[in-house]
Amino acid sequence: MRLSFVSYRLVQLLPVLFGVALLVFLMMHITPGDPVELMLGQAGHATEEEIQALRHEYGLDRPLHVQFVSFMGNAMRGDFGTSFVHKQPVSAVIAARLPATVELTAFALLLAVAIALPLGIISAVRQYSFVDKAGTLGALVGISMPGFWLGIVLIIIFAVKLHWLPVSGRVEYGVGLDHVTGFYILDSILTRNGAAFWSALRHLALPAITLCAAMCAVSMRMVRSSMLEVIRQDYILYARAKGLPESVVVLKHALKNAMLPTITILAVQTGLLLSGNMIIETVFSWPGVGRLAVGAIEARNYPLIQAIVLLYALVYTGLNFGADVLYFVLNPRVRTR
Amino acid sequence: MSTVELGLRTEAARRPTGLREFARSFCRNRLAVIGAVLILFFIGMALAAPWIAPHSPTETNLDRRLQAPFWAPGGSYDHPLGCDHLGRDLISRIVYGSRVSILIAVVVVSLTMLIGLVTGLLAGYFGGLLDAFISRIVDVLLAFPFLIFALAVTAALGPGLVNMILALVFKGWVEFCRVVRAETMSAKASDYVLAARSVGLSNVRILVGEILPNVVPSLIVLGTFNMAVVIIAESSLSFLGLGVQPPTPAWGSMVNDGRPYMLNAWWISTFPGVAVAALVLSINLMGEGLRDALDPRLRD
Repeated sequence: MRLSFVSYRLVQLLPVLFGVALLVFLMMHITPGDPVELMLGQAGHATEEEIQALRHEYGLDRPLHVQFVSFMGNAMRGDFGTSFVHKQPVSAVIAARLPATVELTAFALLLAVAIALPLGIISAVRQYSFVDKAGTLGALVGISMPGFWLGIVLIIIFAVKLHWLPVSGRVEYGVGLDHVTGFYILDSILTRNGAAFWSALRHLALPAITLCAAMCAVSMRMVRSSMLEVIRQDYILYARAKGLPESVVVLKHALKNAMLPTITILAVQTGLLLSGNMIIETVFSWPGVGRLAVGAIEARNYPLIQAIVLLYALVYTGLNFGADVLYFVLNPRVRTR
Repeated sequence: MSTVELGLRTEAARRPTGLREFARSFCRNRLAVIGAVLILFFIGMALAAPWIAPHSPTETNLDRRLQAPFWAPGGSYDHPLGCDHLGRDLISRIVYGSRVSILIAVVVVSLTMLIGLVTGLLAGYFGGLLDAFISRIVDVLLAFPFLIFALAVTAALGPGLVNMILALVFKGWVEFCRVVRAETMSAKASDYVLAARSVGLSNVRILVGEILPNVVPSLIVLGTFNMAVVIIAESSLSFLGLGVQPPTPAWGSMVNDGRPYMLNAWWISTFPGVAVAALVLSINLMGEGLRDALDPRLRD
């Protein structure tokens, strides 16, 4: 039963993934002029023979459907060609930036949960109290602030005026951090480098806060509304009638049931964080995939753009799929259907 | 966006509420009224920009380069919010910048709403192959995070106002289509549509006369929240240099202009962002009020 649901959803995913790949492939072909002209255009003047030769080398002179089949075949093997700018395989360029993005996203996620969960619970338990009203308004303000602006304002306050935190980058020069995994926090712990750990943490603070702001706001409201729904149930009334302390009722009986929709939402929200990190990484000069994407778009580096857009779509789809499966596994009512 | 998704329920057709009842319910939400008033203020600002802006938004004057706001040392009342790195008056640029944001939000949301409404009605009402076809396209587009998609399309088409609108519309309609489709499907199964069918009304009359009125409230609420999303997306694209091109002032690109001067001229980046946040917040406040007034079942 459980397996059949998962495989059913997986089969449903196939046409979506195919469509995603097709769309990403076509995106490069709706561009005015082809990539070769763009590449050579940047390099200077080129003869017609040179253009044709390069087109042939990249296979751009073949029919569109043939190009798509080879694109799909290569993509499945993780081969997206060579980045025009870096003169390296696209997959290697992305792999080098991935740890920075994962580290930042993970921290933002942790921060969002740490803030949203308690605030959401308190808002629901004390509905219409000051905390609830302030939280609701705060959440609205949180989702209304554009990330690029919040980042800059935080830099102006905490880095420029107060000098508490660094403006950009991942770690200070001169702390002598040895790269083991590419995750600087993890690396500094593994190599027992206290100075680097502190420095990496300080560099993470502002981008993580900026990235988590909108997500935190949405998650808080989700926790609140699912808690509110649960708290009105009979079994909560029963638990209270039994004389259980309010903390047990809220944290054990209510929260356990309210977590289900919250977890699903967190997965979807993590997908949205991915969108946000392009902006935030640009603001904080964070050397991750998001900034790579923005750079690739500015340079019209098409193989790299294709690979990154595809990666984002895959991760996003994967997270939504994971949320669906998790919801199914955790919810006995859906499971026994 | 997900607050919106989750805020909309589609199970039952809702009881039609009178306009007066709606107005009374909306006005009871004080924050929503404040939001609506602020939105009117911004729209007025955009329409009347040439008359209320104290200076030209594009006129440069290097003597006034990085001039501070009036309360800071070096500031003057002639340029209340100071000047940017080219000596352009900041408040005039913010006033003119509202035109870009509001124009794009209105155009994009109108188009996405229309496309989503038509596709959603057709898919939900006729079902079958048409539904399968539309739903697959929706699924594919939903697989992309909003901003990366808009960025990629803008990159492919090249930066600029029209291309940015195309990019935002291309992705934005699916949200509407999904909601309208679900509402249409539930309305189709309802007694009043069955009754309309049994007396022999044509499909078009059923769609327009019976189903459409039931879809409109969700559409209005979703459209309002979507304005906020579009304004943030537009200013983000402008911030990255992919939106409206200089010298036309846009809030997002103004924030970007100020980035190199964060150390000594904080106001250049700060004030245009305040404008974005204020407009988006007003829209969200009004959206909450509209949702509560149009769909009372959703109130906590």
